[in-house]
Amino acid sequence: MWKDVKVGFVLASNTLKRGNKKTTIFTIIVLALIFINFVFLPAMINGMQGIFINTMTDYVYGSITIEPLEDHPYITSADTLLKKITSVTGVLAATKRLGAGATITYKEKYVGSNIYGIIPGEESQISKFQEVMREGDFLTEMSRDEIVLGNYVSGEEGGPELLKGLGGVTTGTIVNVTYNNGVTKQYKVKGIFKGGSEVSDTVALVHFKELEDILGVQGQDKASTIIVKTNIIGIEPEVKEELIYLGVKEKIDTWQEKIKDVLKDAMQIFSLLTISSRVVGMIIAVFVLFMMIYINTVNKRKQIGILKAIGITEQSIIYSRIFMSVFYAIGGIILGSIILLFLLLYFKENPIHFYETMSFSPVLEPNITIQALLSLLITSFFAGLIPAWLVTREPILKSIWGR
Amino acid sequence: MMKVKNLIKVYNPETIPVHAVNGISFEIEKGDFVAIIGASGSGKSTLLHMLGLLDLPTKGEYTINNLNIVKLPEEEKTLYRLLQIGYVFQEYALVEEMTALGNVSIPLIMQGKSKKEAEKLAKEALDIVGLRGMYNRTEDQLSGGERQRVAIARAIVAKPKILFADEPCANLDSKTSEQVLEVFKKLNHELKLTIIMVTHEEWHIKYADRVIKLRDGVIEYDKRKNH
Repeated sequence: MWKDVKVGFVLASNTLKRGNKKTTIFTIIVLALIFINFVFLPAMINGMQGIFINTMTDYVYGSITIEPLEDHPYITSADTLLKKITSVTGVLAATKRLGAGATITYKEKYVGSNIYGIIPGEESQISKFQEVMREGDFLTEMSRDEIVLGNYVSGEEGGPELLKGLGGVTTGTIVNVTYNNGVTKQYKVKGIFKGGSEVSDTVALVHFKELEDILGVQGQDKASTIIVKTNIIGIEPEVKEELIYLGVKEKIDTWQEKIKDVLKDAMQIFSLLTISSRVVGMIIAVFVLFMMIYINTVNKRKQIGILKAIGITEQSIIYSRIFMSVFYAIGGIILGSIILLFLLLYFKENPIHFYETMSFSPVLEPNITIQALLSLLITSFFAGLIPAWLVTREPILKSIWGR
Repeated sequence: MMKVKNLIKVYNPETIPVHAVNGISFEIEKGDFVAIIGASGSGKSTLLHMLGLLDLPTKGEYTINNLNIVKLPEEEKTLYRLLQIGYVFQEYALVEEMTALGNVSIPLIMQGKSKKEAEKLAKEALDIVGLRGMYNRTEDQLSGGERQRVAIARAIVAKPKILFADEPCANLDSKTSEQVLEVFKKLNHELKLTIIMVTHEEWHIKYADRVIKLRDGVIEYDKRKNH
C-alpha cells in the first residue's frame, strides 16, 4: 500500500512538474471558476438577506420582540416585565416602546409615519438609530417637544422621488404632527437619522413620556412593545423558552420568527436561489471536472498500459491520477479564493445599490464555503479515481494499442 | 528454465476465429539470446506478448522454472513483470513527463527501494547502455536510439531473469539499431541475461545464439547457432 502511494506520488509529481503547463493552468482556472460559482452567488444572496435582517433587527425587532396579546392594545406592568426579562441569562438589554401612527406636516407637505416613543438611554443598547444620525442630535432623557426624523420622512432636496418626504426638513425646523387619535402637536426637529432602508427611515422618534401623554397612558406602566437584545446571536430561542418558563404571557417572537412573517416570500425566494445555484454549481463542477480529468486520463491510457507492462501496480496508477486530480482541485480552490477575495474587497468598496437607498456587499457564509471546498475535493477524488480505475482495468495491450 | 508447450492464441473465437499462434512448443535455457523471426502476421509479436505476460494464451502451458505463469493471479503477474521480466517495446514507450533517470528508477521505487537508492541503480543501468551524463534529459531531448536505450535500461534495472524485446529497432536507423543490439549482446554476455527478441530484420539474427522462425503461427524452424 505504502509503495503504491509512493509510486503514485512520484508519477503524479513528475507529470505535474514536466507535463503540459498550459493544460494544468487551464484546468486550475476552470476549477477556480467552478469554486467561485459555488460560493459567490450564495454570498451575494447572503449579503442581500443580511441587509434585510440587519435592518429589521437593528431598528425594529431587536433580538426578541414582546407584544401584547390579541385584543389587548398595550403590555401592562411593562417595568415589572422588563425587570424579569433583564434577569434572564443571555439578555444584554431590554427597553419598552410606545407606538402610534401619525401624519407629519411641514408647510404644504405631509408624510404618514409610525412614531415610536422611546427611552433614549435604553434604546442606545437596543437599536442603532443614534449611530446613524445624518444631522443634528439624538433624543436625550430631557427631550420634550422634540422629534428625530427618519431620512425618508425629512426628505432630501433634489433627491430621488422616494426620498422627497417633507421636502428637505432640516434640524431646528418646527413640524406639525397629527396622531391617529386626533391629537396634534408641534415638535422641533432635533436630528435626522439615515439607516439606509425603508424600514428604518420611514419612522420618527419622540421620548417615551411624550407619547405616554399623547396616548393618555401616562403613569400606567404600559408599552406597545418590549424589545430585547441578547448578548450572542443564535441564543434567541433559548431566551424565549426561558421567558415563557418565567411566566411571560405576552406574545414573544424571536427575530427569526418575525422576519419569517414579514419576509416570508423573499426568504423563500432567497433560499430557492441559494439551493438552485448550489445544485447547478455542483452539477457543473462534477461534469466539468470529471470530463477534464477523464479526457486527460484516457489520453494517457497508452502510458498507463506501458506502466502496467513494466510491473507498476494498478493501485499506483490510480493513486497518481487521484493525486493529480486533487492537486488541480486544491490549485483551483486557492486561485478561486484569491479571486473571490478581490471580488469581496471590490464589492465592499463598491456595494451594489438597490431600492435607491439600500446597498449590500456579498457576505461569505463559512458553511457554504466549506461545503464548496469539500464538494470540489470529493468530486476531484472521484474524478481521478473512476477514469483511472476504468483505464487500468483494460487489458495491457488494449491500453497500449487500443485494440 | 522456460517451457512452452502447445501454446495457442485464437482471436475472436466466437465470431471469426483468427489463429495467431497455433500450437507452439519450445524450451529456452538460462542465458540464451533467442531471436524470433517471421513475416508480418506470422504470430511472433503475439507469442512474445504471451511470454511477457501482456496477454493470455487461449490454450497451452507456459512455465518458468516450473512455475505455471499463465495461472498466476493478476497481482502476482504484475509482481512477476516487476521482478523477473524486462520488456522493451517496439516504440520507445517512456513516461514522457519523466527524465531518463525517472523512467529507469520508477520500477525500483515500485519494488520498495528509496528514491536515493533507486536513482543510484538507475544511473548504473543508464551507464551500462551508454547514457552516462544524460540522466536528466526528457524524452524530447533524446534521439530515437537514446530513447530506446533508456527503455532497455528500464527493462534491465531490476535485474530481471528474462528480457523480452518486441522489434526494439523497428523505428531506428541501421547504425542506431546496431548500437542497441550491441547493448543486448553485452547484457547477454556480461550479465548472462536471457533475451528473447522479436525482429523482422534478417541481419539482426547475427546477434542471437538461437533463431526461431514462425510461419502462420507455427514454428518453421528452430536453429541454434554454433559458435
